[in-house]
Amino acid sequence: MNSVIKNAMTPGKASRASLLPLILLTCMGAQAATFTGTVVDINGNPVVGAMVTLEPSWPGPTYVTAFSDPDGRFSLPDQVNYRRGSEFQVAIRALGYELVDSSMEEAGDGVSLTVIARATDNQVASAPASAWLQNKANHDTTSTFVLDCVGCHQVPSPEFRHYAAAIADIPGTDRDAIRHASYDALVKYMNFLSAEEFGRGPEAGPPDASRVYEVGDGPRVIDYLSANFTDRMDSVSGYDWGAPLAVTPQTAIMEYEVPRPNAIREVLLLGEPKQLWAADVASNAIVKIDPESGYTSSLEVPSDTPVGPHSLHRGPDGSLWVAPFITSVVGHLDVNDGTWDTWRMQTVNGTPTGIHDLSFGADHTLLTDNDGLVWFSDIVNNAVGYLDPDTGAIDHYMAPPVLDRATTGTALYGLVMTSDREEIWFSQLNIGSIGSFNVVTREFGLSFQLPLNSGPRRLSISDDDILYVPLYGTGQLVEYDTKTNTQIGIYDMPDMASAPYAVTWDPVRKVVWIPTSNTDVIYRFDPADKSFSVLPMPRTGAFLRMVDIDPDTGNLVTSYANIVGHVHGPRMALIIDPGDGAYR
Amino acid sequence: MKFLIRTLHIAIFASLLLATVLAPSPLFAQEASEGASLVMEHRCYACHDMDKALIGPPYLAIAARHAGHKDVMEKVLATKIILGGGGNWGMVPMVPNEHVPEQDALVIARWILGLPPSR
Repeated sequence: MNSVIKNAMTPGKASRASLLPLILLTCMGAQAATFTGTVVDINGNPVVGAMVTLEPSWPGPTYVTAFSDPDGRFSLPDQVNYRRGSEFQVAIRALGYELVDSSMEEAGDGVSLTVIARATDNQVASAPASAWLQNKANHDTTSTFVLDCVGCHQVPSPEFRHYAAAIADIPGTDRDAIRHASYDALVKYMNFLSAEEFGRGPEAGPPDASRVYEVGDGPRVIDYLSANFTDRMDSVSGYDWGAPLAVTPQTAIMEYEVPRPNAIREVLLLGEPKQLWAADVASNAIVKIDPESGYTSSLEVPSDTPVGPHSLHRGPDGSLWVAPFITSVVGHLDVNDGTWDTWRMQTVNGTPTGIHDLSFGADHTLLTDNDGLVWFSDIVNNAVGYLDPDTGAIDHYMAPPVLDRATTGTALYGLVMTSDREEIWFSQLNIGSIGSFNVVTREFGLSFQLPLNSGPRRLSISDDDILYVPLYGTGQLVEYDTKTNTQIGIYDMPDMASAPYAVTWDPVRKVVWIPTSNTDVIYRFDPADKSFSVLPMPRTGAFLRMVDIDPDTGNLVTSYANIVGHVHGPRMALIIDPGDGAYR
Repeated sequence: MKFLIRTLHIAIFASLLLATVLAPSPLFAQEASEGASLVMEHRCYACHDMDKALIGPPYLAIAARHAGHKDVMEKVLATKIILGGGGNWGMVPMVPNEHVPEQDALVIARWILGLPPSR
């Protein structure tokens, strides 16, 4: 038995590799093993709620994570096919701790690990990006800033923090001017990358710098950065998750690295045997991952124009529905026989349709209206519309103006259908509005408005037709009864800079899961007592988007969906067993 | 010892001569085109142009400034590409490019320093 520190913790190295410190152990023997262990601090006291991550060198998940209990004990899941005689690495994530050493001992059929961690006041290696955005006094400007920037990447990322340090190193007495000029350059740079990512087809060259450096929101972003990120940003302290952990000793997180380059978005678990299906918005492909072996393969969406798979929906028959990013092609795949159907859509006036979501119901499964029509949100045309999968017929209904708010660029975004299949509800991300549309009368109905910087994104609806809306900018959750048209409440997230992207109603647990883009966590909201708890992910840069719930096991299925090619956070598909036995 | 150095000088001269005869050597040409394509791959053009100042200085200006000490600057420039920082060209530091592998940064640095003094 030996124990070697393979990757000692240095700030530069850790951020480049986006990895926690790793310790290499060699496990001797030949047969399968079970893994248990204890996390203790340097005085031998238990470290509670630490994520212990194993990186095996054998087929299966790329990483497997369990949480330490009040005695510091943890056990890794039995279903992972551990192999003796193979190398593995151990990492931990616990707020305010860093890994010092680990050792292992063989005990009966299994392996027992002792992981030693050291408490550190500086949480720079363990805290999420949002730890730097905790100033409640400027919550309003922070909310606007989150909508401006965190929509595409975490802020502040390690690269950003290193830039802040570089600014601090520039000599000169007028610090405000130096900061302002430097952040002005950074914002121009990011605007360029953004224009390149979203503003052109795959064949076009780089955008014209003189045209894309300046955008409307630039000055307020530069002002925010200059006012709030004034030091080297190499330390942060006092951050906590803000809610009790939603974990048990059986909680397990299985992470699957997706081959790069990729811009994976949403992931579903479908088919027999169950496979992970991940939308890759950059490559026009669906990546398939076998959870048993970790083996990945790629399926091209058959279309003569790039589709850019973005939103995925499970069909009632367990098939896969693929909604595109901006383009107007919807795909349907029978995951068992590999048969595709695609529909290409244009609006009546010739403007391409920008489908974002297809209609789904309380079980997060595609839901058609009573005439079999699939309804969708059209992010480009501020419209809702339908597709008749049998005939290919489509139609659009433009959303009416809302108060004095903009009527273009509203980003009509999330979409759900009520249980009677007669009404859809949608969010308009850029104008802070929620609206409804009656699919029988084809008329827009009630709507309600939130602040302009609230940022409502992907909706969910419960079995009782309660609407849940995540507010990406202001970091809140809206609970709204669509039957009585009353707002039940607006609740502050445990971390209001967490950028909650989506909500998913869990029809068995009767809770709401809320993945966040800036805090590396999934929140669990219990409508019975309006309480939050938190399920943290084992790594920083975990840019979470949608969560689905596997109807058979109750496992959560999600992804680290770093969007822009230049953002170098993790890109993985995940299966998470909350460890509560709720679906057994 | 002197003899050894002289022999080495001759050998180096001979190889330089050979390089001139074969110029452009396939190896050099390959590296130059690799540098140009890495500049595209890592999106250096977001901030830098050949002969125009954008957010950062033009490649030709960098090459001209360091023409006298290319040997030292190759490693320095490669390091700067990855870590960013500076204020060498005004008060604005370069953004870090921590995703660029070290060997790519070295090829890019050689490509910049090898650009002709004027075009």
